[in-house]
Amino acid sequence: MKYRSTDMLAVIALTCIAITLACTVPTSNVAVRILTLPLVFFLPGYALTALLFSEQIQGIVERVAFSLGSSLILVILSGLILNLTPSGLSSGSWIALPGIITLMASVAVLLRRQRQGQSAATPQRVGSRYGFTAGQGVLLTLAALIIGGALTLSITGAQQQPYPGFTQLWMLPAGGAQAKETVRLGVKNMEKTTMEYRLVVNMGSKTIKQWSLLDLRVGENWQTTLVVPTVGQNSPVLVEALLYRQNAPTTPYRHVELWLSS
Amino acid sequence: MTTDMESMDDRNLAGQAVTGWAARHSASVQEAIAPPAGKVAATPAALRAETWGWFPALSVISALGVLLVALAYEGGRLSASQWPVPLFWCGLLLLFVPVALRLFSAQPTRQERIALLIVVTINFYLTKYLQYPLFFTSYDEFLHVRSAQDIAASHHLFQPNPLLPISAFYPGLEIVTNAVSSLTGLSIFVAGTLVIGVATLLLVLSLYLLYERLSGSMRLAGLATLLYIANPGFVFFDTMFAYESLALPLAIFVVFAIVRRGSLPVRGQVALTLLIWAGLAAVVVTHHLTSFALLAFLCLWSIVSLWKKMRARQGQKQPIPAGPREAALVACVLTVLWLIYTNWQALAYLAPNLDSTMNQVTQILAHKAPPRQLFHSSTASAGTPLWERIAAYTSEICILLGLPFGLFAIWRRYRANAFALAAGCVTLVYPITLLLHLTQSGAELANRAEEFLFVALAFVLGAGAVQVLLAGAAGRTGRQRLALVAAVVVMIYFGQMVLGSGQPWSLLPGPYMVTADARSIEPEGIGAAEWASVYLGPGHIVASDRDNTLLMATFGEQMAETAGSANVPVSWVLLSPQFGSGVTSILRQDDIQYVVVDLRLSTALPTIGTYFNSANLQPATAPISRTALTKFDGMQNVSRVFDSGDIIIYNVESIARQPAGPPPQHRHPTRQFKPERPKKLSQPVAWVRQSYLWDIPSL
Repeated sequence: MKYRSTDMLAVIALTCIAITLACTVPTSNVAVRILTLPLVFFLPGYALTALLFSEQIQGIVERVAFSLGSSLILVILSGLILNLTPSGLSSGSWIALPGIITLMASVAVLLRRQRQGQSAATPQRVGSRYGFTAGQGVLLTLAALIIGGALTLSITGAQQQPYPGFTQLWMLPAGGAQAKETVRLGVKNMEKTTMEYRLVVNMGSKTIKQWSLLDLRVGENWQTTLVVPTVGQNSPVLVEALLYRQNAPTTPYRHVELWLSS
Repeated sequence: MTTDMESMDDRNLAGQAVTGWAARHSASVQEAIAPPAGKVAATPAALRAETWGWFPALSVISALGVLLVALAYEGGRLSASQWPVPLFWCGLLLLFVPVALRLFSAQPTRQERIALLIVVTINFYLTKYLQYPLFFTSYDEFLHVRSAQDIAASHHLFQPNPLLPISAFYPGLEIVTNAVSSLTGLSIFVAGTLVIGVATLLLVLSLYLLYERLSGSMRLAGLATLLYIANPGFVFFDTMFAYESLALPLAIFVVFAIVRRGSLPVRGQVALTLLIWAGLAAVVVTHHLTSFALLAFLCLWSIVSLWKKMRARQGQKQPIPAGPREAALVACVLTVLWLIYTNWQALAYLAPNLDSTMNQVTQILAHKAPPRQLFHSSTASAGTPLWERIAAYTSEICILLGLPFGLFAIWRRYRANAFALAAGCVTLVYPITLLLHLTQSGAELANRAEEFLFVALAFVLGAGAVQVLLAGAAGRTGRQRLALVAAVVVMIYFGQMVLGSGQPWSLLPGPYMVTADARSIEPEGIGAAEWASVYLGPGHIVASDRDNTLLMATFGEQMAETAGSANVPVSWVLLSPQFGSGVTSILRQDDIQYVVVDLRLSTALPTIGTYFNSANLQPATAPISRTALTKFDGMQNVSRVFDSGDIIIYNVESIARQPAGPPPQHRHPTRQFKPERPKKLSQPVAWVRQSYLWDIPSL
């Protein structure tokens, strides 16, 4: 090749990688899918800037600013356009529009440079000046480690922040045709320790079901479905659930109630 | 226009003499790679050491500042004591001051300056992120999370947002967040955090490049960017997941592009013009206030540019760079078109605040109302400490005293530049915004204006500071001037940080507080909202207090009613001491299906002043009574479907869908609540009764 367009070849390669990852890797695999980030923040703007006014851009900082700014603008306007399509703003459409624009702009730049036989205007031979000495590298690594420590401290601190524990008790009518005679009950232990509960379900003044020991670990969820006696014809009936802790067996800890209408 | 001072200041600009504004515009990229004049780097290692200067060492110091802030946050989480507060302020000072001192100096290269600014920007952003690193907690952030969730669920824009209806019509931030989230699989929180981080970086780079291109001085550009970073909105507001946080960087990028266009050949100008128009469109669909501010500035800039052109025709031969007239016109057309498309909702959203401000100003001027007492807290929280007040006042005094120096420097050195003159004009608005702090509504307006005003203010103050630094000779006098400028900038920074940090309780994370925004977001509330999402399903109409409304609308995916979205304000549903016809009427008019009651509201006054998210409510004077909160218990056809101790969820659908009639009866007459006649109605209750609930019988 008589011309050098390493930057545009890199943009095309990164765009293809991002598109391939977005098409093949499930979204649950965030560690890999995160490699598609440049397709939003950088690549479209870089390609468009190179296509429109690359020769006039001065320096890396200006190029980065134009790439970031143009990318964000392009993504916002793309979103407005995608909204008009039936599929809207979905993963597939986000791969298609910015990806295609980036690839088309990059190929156009390559063709133009080939036609003009000119060198890539972007990469300047400044490597020796932009590198770091060993001492500088050590200091920057130290700074990164300190920031990493601060991040770890804050994230773990927030995850383990002491808050009062609590227990959730809930009762809802079962869905579908059995809604009038079946209820769903649930208990979730979000206390700081394993809990032992007793659950009593009353209908009017009569106990219709009792669970004398619910042993739930921290974060554990217990659910059941309960068929209640047939609801009367005329008036709604109240079903009441009372949750007791084993260490305080006479004082209701949680209390829910549900009106079942005929 | 060329002076020795400029030559001294700009000696690093590729070692070339600066010959006026036009020449400064053509400052070559060589400045980025050329060694400082008069010095020849012998080896690559020496070259690198010279290029980066103190950047690596200052990065370590700034990182230590972040670590101190993180320790302070951790201290706040673990204890309610005040010892972490000094640690927090020490961290913020360590993060900023050493870098600032370095940037005052004439020594650093362009690379070092930019690298230092990037480090400070990232570290400031981290200080915001580290405060609540697991999910969004600010009030404004929840409003936009809901819009982002709606787009993710429906794949389409403009879905109704019950928390902030206007936000659905300015979806720029949510679009970019959706793109990141859809492509990477990241959560909205992580995706949004990345978007705002990139936007903040774009803001600082664009600002630096703008200031540098205007002044031709990397020293002034660095100092002015640093002063902008010192504005209170930068750290505490524009790093939030909110539409202005993206719109403002885009607006400044567009302004930089317009300035940059002036130094391009015609072919490049055409291409950049397309980008500018696209940028204007992006700003217009991202944030109403930013688009209005940008339009106003472009108009002012155009007027100044025209005035200069007319003066040039009268005698001056100096060529005048192309102004932003066509950009102003395009911005105007796009703004109006978007307003029409969105049915003028932005004006309806903003007008009440402006109207309220004007009314309050009029009343103060007519001596019909006293001015707002500064730093006075009418809420349950403790007042602002004395040292914070002194710091804030000192900062404002420094800015006001610095303004004349800056304006003089602008006139003396940059009056050939229409942008610089327009910026000078904008700074004259700043003292007026300070006066607006004397009104309740105006204070909010003034706070929101600061992010915009500081773009001009930082440039003008930076010009003044450089003028002072360069006015004297080197040696002892020079060092004294440097110390003076450094002290003033640090005082401005510290005071502005104090102003932006808000109430002392909001500074650090900590234990739950009643209606205290981020401090009220805790596992039990989130758990209740997540339960609603899983077991009730999304989209039910829910009434609750301010913080549980946010949680139910976002974590819970419910249509939580707010003052803005409800037909009738829902506050009375919780405030009413009994389940009477007033409550029933609201339930029916708003079709409310569930009421979420937080019993902790009865334990304290709301920390921010009101339990509900209506701007019109007066501050609460007494906690909501527990009997008012538990009035739903035992009511016929009101199901108590969820209980987590503090939070109870009631199903009131049967009541809301009944035809109008008498309120429901209590099912246990012997347990029926009989409230005592209150001696005096609390202000919110009285207001709600007077304004909306004509059908409530007298107590």
